[in-house]
Amino acid sequence: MNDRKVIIGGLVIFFILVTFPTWFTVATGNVRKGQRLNETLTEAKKAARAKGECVEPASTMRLRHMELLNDWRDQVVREKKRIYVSSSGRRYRMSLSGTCVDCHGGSKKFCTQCHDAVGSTLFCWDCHSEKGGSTP
Amino acid sequence: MNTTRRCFLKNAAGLTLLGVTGGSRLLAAALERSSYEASPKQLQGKRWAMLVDMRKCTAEGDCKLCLEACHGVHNVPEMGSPKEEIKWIWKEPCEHVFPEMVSPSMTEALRKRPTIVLCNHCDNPSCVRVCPTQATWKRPDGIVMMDMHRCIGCRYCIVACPYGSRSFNFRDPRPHIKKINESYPTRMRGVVEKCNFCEERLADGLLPACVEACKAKALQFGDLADRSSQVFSLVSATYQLRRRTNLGTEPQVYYLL
Repeated sequence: MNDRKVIIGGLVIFFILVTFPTWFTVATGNVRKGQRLNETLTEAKKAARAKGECVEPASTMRLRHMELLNDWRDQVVREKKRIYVSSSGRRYRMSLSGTCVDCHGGSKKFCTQCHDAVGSTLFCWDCHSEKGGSTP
Repeated sequence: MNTTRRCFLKNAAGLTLLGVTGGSRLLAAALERSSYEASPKQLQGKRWAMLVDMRKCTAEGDCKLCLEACHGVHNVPEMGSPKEEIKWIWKEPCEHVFPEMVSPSMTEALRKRPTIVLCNHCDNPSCVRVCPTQATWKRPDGIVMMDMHRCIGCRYCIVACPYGSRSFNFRDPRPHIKKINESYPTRMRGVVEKCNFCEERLADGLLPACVEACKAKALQFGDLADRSSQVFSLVSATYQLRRRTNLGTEPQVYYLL
């Protein structure tokens, strides 16, 4: 074990690098931003709950909303189909601004905040408009 | 426990694979049980076509009802310069629309007479043949559709279209739209656009906006495959013109001059 110093030193550097996102966020005070995000998300959730259930269970939406939206887009634009029959048999008009965001209280709260936080850029709203014209 | 090292590794790898691929799917399998339907109001047609009756059309005056209706519904911008102009339906001098019909002995007024033009929704669309991403294609009901999500802005279709029916967004069009219709998307910089025969209105059981707006009843829209339709009875019983039929594109906008 003559290389003990090198190995332990390497491990320490590795550990620092791996945990970088965590302590960097804490150090720069961005944690509060995350908390605010949670608060607004809860608000959006409450607003949506008041209007009934989402098109699919929340666990599915959280995990696969991007797949669902891609399918909706292709079905409406390419397959001439406008109605979504959910897994529970309810029917919805497939519309990003009309069905999703209208119910969830605006894209700023519902889409942009989360996507900003995880650093994935949305370009849906470059073309699609929300009711009331408040496009971010 | 009598597990060999080999057995243990096999089980561990199998479980990991299941967790990575299947686990999340099993948790959220709702999407696999969903399905899609057409709108119950959807107007059904096998070969949508339009008839432009220039004998009734009042485009020679100030009438812009069809243009304004279309551009309002579809968020068509006014770019301010002819080079960047976005066109869905517009007025063109007759000598440009039907160059083979014009002779030098015709009066200037006849040659320059404003004629309504739009995408011809060809039976054999050259724009579709050249599109490298299938962003434009011909639907079974004859409408030549655009998928803005897929358009990469290569402009092959603009070159291929012999009617100049396609326009390119050189700049972000949003600041140039007077009033945005929120129920229809705008476009972004770098995509091609054109008339879509109001396919979004057909899905709601409505006729195209230009047809609905025309007070002179100069625009007729209907299913040419349906022998009881008005468009079929007009097109089958009179001489009409189509633009540049010698090219073989089989345009589906018919003209009565």
